[in-house]
Amino acid sequence: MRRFAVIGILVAACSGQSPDAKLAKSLDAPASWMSGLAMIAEKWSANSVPRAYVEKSLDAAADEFDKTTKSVRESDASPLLRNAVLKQLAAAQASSSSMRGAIEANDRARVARDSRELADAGKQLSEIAEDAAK
Amino acid sequence: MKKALQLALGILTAVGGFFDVGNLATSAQAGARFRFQLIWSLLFATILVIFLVEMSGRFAAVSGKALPSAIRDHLGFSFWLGPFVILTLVHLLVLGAEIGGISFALQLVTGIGFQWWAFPVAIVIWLFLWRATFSAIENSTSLLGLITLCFVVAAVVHHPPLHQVAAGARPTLPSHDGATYWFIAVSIIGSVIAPYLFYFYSSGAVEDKWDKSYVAVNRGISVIGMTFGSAIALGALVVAAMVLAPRGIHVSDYNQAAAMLTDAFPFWGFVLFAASMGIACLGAALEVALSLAYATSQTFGWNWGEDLHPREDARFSLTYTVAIFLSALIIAAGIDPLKLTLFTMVINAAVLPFVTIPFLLLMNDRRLLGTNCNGWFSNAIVVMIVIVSFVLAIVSIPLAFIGGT
Repeated sequence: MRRFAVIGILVAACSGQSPDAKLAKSLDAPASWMSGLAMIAEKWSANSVPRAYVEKSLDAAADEFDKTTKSVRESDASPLLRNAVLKQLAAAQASSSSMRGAIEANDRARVARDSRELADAGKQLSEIAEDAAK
Repeated sequence: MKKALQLALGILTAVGGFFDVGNLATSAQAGARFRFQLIWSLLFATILVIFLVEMSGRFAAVSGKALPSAIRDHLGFSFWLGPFVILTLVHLLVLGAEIGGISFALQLVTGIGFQWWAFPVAIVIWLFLWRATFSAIENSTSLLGLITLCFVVAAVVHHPPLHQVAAGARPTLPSHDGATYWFIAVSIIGSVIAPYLFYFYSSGAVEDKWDKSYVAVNRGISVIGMTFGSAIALGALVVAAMVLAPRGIHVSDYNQAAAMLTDAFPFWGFVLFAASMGIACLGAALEVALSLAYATSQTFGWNWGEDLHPREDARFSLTYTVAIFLSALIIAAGIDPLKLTLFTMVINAAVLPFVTIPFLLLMNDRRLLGTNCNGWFSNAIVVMIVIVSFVLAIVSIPLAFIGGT
């Protein structure tokens, strides 16, 4: 019984994070998608993966970006943090949307540029999350 | 000579049949998030699974009985009913995760959403079970499963820093994301020590008509087969650590892992990943569906056997038919296959005591096993498994909420 109580306290303690820390934790998936899309685009340019796979990945990433954008807007985190996160999410949404068009047009130069932008946005979002979690 | 051939085939099938969706998902996540730091949990689970698989094979070879029927006969129906119900639910989730893995592999190749593949995949699995014999299923899928060795080759191609890989074998505390670290560690253990494995292995030994002369063959298959099988999971972890971790990709979706072999094999990497995932999950799905039908039939005393015509064991065949279609429903509903897999692997770890306690009681029953009873060393290992399983059961579910991804 005591063991269950300890676990209950642990769960409560962990779920009682500050709004900033909670928001930081939720940024892992979109940051991972930004880096993931950059790699997938790089592989598409090297003819290592098919277009259908890239398109499915873009769909899944777009869902994740939309979901996170909604949760950031509803978050109680500090406005400074929310604005910084929303800026990176908007940049990622723009780059991934541009990448979709570039892939349809077989424009490899644009895909490479969008890929770099996504990788940068992913890095910056990870840094923001690390700072907020401290 | 015949035994040596059976040993070789047994090892090959154990290696080819080891890797499944749980190993792939947990190894990719572990490598991508924590590089080599979680290798210890894979090694720990491998040692335990070697002991448990050896015991289930030895039990079947000496007693001539599969585990569920022996538990029912010797410990009583009412003792077994609770664990049986829990394990059946877990079997259904694992089967759903494997169907999700095959469906996702088909999505990778065709671009058609995975949920659309759930029922066609279910029909293929069902046809396999309806038409094929036990040895045909075991040998074909497991030998095809050797394609998963591509993860080992890719790991070697990447020249991982060996001192860091070796350091990962020593358990260490995480420097970041503690809850996620323990969640993945538990998932890895749950993916390697899957309960279905023991029912399938012991029932398979009965199907293959093993007797006492197979005790040594069983030991060889368990030790060598499981060790090499685990090397494939280690290969996937190393590849994820070398390819995904440096790019900051944490694998929150199977799509993020699908290109992980393309650094090592630029042209074939993507196809190899999809083929490995599809074949490994197909083999595992067949094993899980059979395991569920074995356990149910043996629990209720029905006729059972994959080598019998469906008309001779109608309830056995009906059981796997219903199980396959129920599990396919989970995927057809659009539940994320990766999330389902990770959740299921944690549940696998949580229910281990239900498998290991009755198992330990039987392995010490001299009326059943005579001189082949467990020695003190095997008992100590199983007791340790029970304790670790219990602790895992306590911590894994809260961790699923705190650190689950």
